[in-house]
Amino acid sequence: MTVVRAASPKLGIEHVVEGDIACLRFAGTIDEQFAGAAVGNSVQPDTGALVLDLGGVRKISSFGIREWVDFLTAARTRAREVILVECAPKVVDQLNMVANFAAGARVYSLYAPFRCDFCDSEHRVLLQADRDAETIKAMALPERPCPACKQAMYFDDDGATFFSYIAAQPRAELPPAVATFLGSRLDYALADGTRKLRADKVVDGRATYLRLSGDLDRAFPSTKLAEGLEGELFVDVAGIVKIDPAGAAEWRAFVQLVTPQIERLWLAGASAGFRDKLASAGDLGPRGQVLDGGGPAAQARYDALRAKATASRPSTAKVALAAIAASPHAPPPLAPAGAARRTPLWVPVSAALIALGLAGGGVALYELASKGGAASGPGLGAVDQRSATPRPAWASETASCAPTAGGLTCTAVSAPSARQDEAEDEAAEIAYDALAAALAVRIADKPWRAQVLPVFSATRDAKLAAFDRDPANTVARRDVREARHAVAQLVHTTGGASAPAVPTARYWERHTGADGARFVAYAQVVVPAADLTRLVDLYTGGETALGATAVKVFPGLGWRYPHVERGAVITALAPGPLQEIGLAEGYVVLAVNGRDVTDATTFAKLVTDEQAAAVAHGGTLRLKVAAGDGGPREFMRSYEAPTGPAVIPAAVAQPAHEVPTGGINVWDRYGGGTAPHK
Amino acid sequence: MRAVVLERNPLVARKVVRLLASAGVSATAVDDPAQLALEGTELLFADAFDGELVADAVRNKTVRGVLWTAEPLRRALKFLETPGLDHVLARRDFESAPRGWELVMTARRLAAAAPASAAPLAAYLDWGHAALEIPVRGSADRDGAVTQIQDFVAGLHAPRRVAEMFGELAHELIMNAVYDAPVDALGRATHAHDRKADVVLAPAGQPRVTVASDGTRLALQVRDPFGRLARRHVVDGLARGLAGGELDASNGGAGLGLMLVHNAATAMFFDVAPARSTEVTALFELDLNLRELRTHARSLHLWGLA
Repeated sequence: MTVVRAASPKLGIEHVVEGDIACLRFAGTIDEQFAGAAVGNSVQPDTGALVLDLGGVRKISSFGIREWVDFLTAARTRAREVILVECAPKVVDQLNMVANFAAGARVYSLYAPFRCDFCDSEHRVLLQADRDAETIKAMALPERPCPACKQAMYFDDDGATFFSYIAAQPRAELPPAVATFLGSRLDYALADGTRKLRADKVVDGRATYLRLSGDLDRAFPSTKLAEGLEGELFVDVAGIVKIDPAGAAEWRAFVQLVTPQIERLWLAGASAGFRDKLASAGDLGPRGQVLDGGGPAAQARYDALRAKATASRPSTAKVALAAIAASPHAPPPLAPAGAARRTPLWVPVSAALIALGLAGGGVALYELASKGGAASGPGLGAVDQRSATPRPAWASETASCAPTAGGLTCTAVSAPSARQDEAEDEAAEIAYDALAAALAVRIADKPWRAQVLPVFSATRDAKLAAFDRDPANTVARRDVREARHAVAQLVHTTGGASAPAVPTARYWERHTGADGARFVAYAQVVVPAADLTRLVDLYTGGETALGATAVKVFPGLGWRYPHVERGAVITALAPGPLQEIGLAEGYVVLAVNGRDVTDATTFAKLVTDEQAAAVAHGGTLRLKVAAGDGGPREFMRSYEAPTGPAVIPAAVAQPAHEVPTGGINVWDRYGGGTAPHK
Repeated sequence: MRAVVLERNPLVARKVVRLLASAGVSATAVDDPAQLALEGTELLFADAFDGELVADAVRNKTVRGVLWTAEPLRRALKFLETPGLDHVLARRDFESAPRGWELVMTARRLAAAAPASAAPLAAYLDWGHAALEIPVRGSADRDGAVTQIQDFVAGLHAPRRVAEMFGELAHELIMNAVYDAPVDALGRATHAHDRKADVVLAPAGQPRVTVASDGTRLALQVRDPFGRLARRHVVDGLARGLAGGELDASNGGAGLGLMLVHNAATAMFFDVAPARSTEVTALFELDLNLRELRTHARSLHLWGLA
């Protein structure tokens, strides 16, 4: 197996080979910079099946379509079969409109776009050609609950158009080898709902530890699991991936069965989805409680039991470790006889990277709390799958951000995760956060260091320290994960073309041990010297208006304000209207009179225009600002309309092409809404 | 200026006559082609269902034709091969009139004898709209401009897919302005042979890229100072791109760029002053969700400037 990251700056391609099956995973934009024929010719001759994973394709230009067809044409000569999986809606559009876009390849799965108008969110639902054949044939998708708000979301496309290509395609039956590959490499077992539930049970005196992992579906053996339970029961559901209605009913039946038998049921490790669906007071019964709120004593008992479970042999007399298969037809033993000693869980320390010293310069180095490599991480088990062999040299347990040829190369590693995509996302977000931190080190601009850096550096340090103290604490873990996600998003939304749209390289490993399969992912982000310089300039370039100087919002602010997507940070404030209404250095201006501030330039333009208009005609200057630890605040000042003859400010009265505008809001250049012909 | 409106739905006909009157055009409505009397008529309005009849009238008389349609644009494209029949206006369904502002603007511009300039951007949007003009000096500015345009759309709280779609649209139009439009003094294309090459345009050859919105409509306008886009490029290109056939660039472009423009816009305006300028304006209705956009008819306007 090999991993190659190539293509253009806007397109990443991951290359995975297993036997005579190869998979190319595309992420980003396919345009004229994609060298289609060259990539197609890089496919190994006599490849049995070439799987193209297109879930990450965001945009395709017209010239990109040509390059794509060239790519597939070349690839088709080297592979006996080409299969398209997880086609993004953008890819489906092209399949429908360009007859040879698939060039003879078969579409096995595609994402259908859904939209929720209630919470203004967009989602994708994966459809498989075999499993969802009837739905595809019907060319209609019913509304379904929005994952975010639970209101109804609708299929955001025209069914007759969207499904026109795949509905006409002969029903795709996957060769068994490809099906196995998809199941193991791309987690299609998960997509197909076939991840079987596993249960570990440890009994210690009157306390029982029950760990569930897999999909909670109708196969959940509620009666069998409930048998013999007594005393204090800890149910660890951190490994539950999907919950379907039948599984939820089985869970409730399980709780109902055990309630008369036990003294207390503690629910641990519940995801947000599990809490939403199955952790209400009614669902947990009169003796059930979420462990988070159970106090330190219960937490200590749980920790001890869990540690015992992971440290004990199956044959230990007092601790009975049983593996119970969810399916009566296929009981896979979780811990086979003679299994290796189970050591304490490998702590998910990659997210507990030591806080970066922002004041220093040079190499920004992270260290994992654990020195053990992922491949040998205690408790994780042996590596049984990986996206490349051998492991790329850059993928190590030491995450770092180091200078390379004047630029920066940042690498990161995820915590072990039950899902490959989650591990990969986390690794990428850590890498982007490392990039932001290293960038902060390199910014020497004094006003920036004095006003922008303090806004987030202390928060970052505090959140990382909290996580470092207790990596198992879900609140600390969530805070760090949320912040890193926000930082990564800000890198994308504010960094422009100089910020890599996707990691430059990825790699993952699957470890299978007594706790089941866990994925550890690695990501690398490379920023060339020129882009690094541009990024520093981008974030320090200030604009001054009404006495206030502002710079573009910096990605690191995601630690302090995870919900801020854009804005401008005040770095200097002289006496003037903005100081008078209460603005201060370090404040992040998000909007002016309801109009979003995207950067320093729009900030200067908006405050100038809006204040001039308010002075000329009367009105209010309103600034929406992120400051402190609460939500956004509004600062405002009202201006009385001038008496006597109206004075039209020059910026409005003059033909705008004579007025420097800074490139924004030049509507008045075109007549400000006046009719084209009078 | 006198016009005849051929429309079978009397409510639609009445509204169109009213809109035309507001644009200074005196119109009469008929609901049966047999009633058409074109003497003294300068404009003929009808659904694309009657496109052949309108095209015949345009070819044989001194009238100019305007069509509207509630169906896919590709069905009306063949009529636009007829000079003098330069406009197809989208309407929601057969019980709806075309968009009022679009019909009035079309009538106003047709009433002008020989317009020397395109309509200002303000004509496409409500008063008070916001616009962002983005300098594009060459290929290196393209991706940054696309990002700015996506950010602008995202700033309107439009769905992410809409922002990405407009980014794609911008990419196409800028690529056209940077690579396909420029010619040298002898009229030879200077950059069209290699769309992967780095291109830096002289100041006089740089396009003007503007994105604007009034919150209801989103407009992207790209103007280049070359004026090379011919009517056949648009009509034939769209016909090829929307035909849904195999990618075939053997006859000078497969129409993919125009197809992407068509797919991202509810209305397209091409204002061409030969050898002076080409201005492409694409509009998107922000109140449409993408499902509605998919089935909504598209407008196409071909304006030749004096």
